[in-house]
Amino acid sequence: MAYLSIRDLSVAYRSRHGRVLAADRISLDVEKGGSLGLVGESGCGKSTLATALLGLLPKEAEVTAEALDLNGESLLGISAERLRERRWNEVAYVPQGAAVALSPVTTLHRQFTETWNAHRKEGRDVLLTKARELFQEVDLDPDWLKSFPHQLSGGMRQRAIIALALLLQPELLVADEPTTGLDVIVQRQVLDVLKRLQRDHDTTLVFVSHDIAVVAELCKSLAVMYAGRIVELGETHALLQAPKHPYTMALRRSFPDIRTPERPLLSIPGRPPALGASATSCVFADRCPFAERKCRETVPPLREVGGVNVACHFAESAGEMAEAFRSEAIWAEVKEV
Amino acid sequence: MSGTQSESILELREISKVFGRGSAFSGLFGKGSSEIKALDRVSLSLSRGKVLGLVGESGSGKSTLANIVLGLETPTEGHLLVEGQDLAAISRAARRNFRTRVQMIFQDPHGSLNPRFTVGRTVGEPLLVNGVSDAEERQKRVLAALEDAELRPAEAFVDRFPHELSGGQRQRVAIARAIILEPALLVADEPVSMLDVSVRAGILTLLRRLVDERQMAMVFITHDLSLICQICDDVAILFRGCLAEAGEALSVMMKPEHPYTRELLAAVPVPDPDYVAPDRMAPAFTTTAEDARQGCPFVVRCPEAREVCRSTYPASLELADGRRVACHNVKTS
Repeated sequence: MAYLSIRDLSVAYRSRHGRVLAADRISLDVEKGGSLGLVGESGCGKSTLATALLGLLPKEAEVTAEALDLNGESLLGISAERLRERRWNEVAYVPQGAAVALSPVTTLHRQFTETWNAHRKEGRDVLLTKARELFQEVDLDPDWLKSFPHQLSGGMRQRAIIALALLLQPELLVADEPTTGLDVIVQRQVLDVLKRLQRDHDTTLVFVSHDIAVVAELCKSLAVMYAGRIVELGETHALLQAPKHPYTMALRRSFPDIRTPERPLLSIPGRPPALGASATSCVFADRCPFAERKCRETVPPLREVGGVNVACHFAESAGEMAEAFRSEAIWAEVKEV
Repeated sequence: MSGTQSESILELREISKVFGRGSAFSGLFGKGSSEIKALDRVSLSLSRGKVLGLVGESGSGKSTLANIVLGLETPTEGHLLVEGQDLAAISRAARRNFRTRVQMIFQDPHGSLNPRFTVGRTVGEPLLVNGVSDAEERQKRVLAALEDAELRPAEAFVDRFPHELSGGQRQRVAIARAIILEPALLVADEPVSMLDVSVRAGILTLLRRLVDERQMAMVFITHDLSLICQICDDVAILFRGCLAEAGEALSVMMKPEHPYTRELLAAVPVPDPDYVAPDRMAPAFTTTAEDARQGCPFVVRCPEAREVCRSTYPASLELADGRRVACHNVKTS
């Protein structure tokens, strides 16, 4: 059985401007020790999905799902007390803004102590040893534990947060854009730490990012999200080698690759649809150069085609679409909105 | 302003910038001698129609350099020439004109536009400030600038507010505002890093086209090396305020000579799960702050460092392809 199992998860926010459906009938599984990357652009629902795993969605959020199971136990309708037990012990979170995730007025050591005390009754004597070990593991000098967060650089803070997240040995780590805003050198250090964790501790990882390159390096499988839906889901290698969904193809082409610095980048005309009601057509149809009437009338289900799961009516002709993608002219027909 | 194709728009001659010298805070916090050398004898030049990429990690001095080019900071030493004019030597009135010749595009289009101004007012403001009092002419030029930033039809955008626009459209408004005074030089600080991946290419293409058509020049600041070849002709790599390597963009990317450039390239994530990042090599020496001050600034991290790197600052060498490298291990032939 999968460690993390999601079936038909939808999350809607009520706001002044009406209802916003941020995640629309999401289904996926992650095996124990596996790693899943959630990629997509802003507003695609990737962070909503990640926060739903932690039960951290704001109270305005309406969550419906057939199943949302972590380690065989449902997170739906769980009591606040039980949720508190499961957080940190089973699932920990690494947020994007490391600078604001730590308290500026207490030392790191104290923040480690407080986290420990909030979740464990005993073992305070081992805490310091444990914290020092974790600091070494993320390539930080354990002496930094005595410091306040502002004394550390951005990359060091981000690594301190990863160490803190690991304090209670969670089985699942949810990281939301943990390297965004860091420069390449520091990003590389954080990526190396995360890679090592997966290798040495068998930690299951859900990694949210807009950066395909970062996700591809870290995760064994990939879910490409667009306008609240998963449009393609599969093993990273297969998905990037031969994408079956036109959006994945376009995203792949709009991202630079340092190995081919001269390859021109693609700009996808148009913008994502408003997230109102549940989709009644293919969410990418308005921007898709291959869209036909069928795409605007029925929702393509996520189905298996050639080893990956893809939500496209024409996934069988992915090869021809990929061929057509080589020509710039194909985008001329998609109108700029 | 007529001239040849190779006319110099920007020239930095041995620019240094030291912060903390005699500042009010040094007395307050009791550390009188805390000086930070943000830039150390940086020389660069940029001709009309060219784009120069400025690359380095945080703290490398990229932003200080941009501020100096914009005239927001004065260099501690060295000369800055914009369109052949030494900025230190010009009068107050001429300095006012200088500010119209160099324009800035910021990283965050959500923060750089006034949320209560319409697009038309934002883009027209530089004209108003610079004495274009005829409202009709302003409107005409605003529409032309919006069209040129590919916000078409411009009439549909002038009365809109920033919150009604997508991130890419907002950045286009910021670009229209930057070009409306027809500057000679644009300084763009990470102009696409906050934008969605699918619209980045459009903004890069737009900037490149504007530089080519209007024969401007642009300084493009980024830490994303994979973007460099998309838009830049030349690239300059900064490490702790010093120029490590500078030259033609593609040749530097394809065949980096400075160990720091190699480290930067190796750190870039590659969209391939089979890719194995090269191991980070340990520095050759355990060094002190003193070594970095006397010798090569990169000695603290350099895996290829030799004894000479700790004691002597490497001179900038010019290689056969015109690139400059400051490293003891690089030879001209």
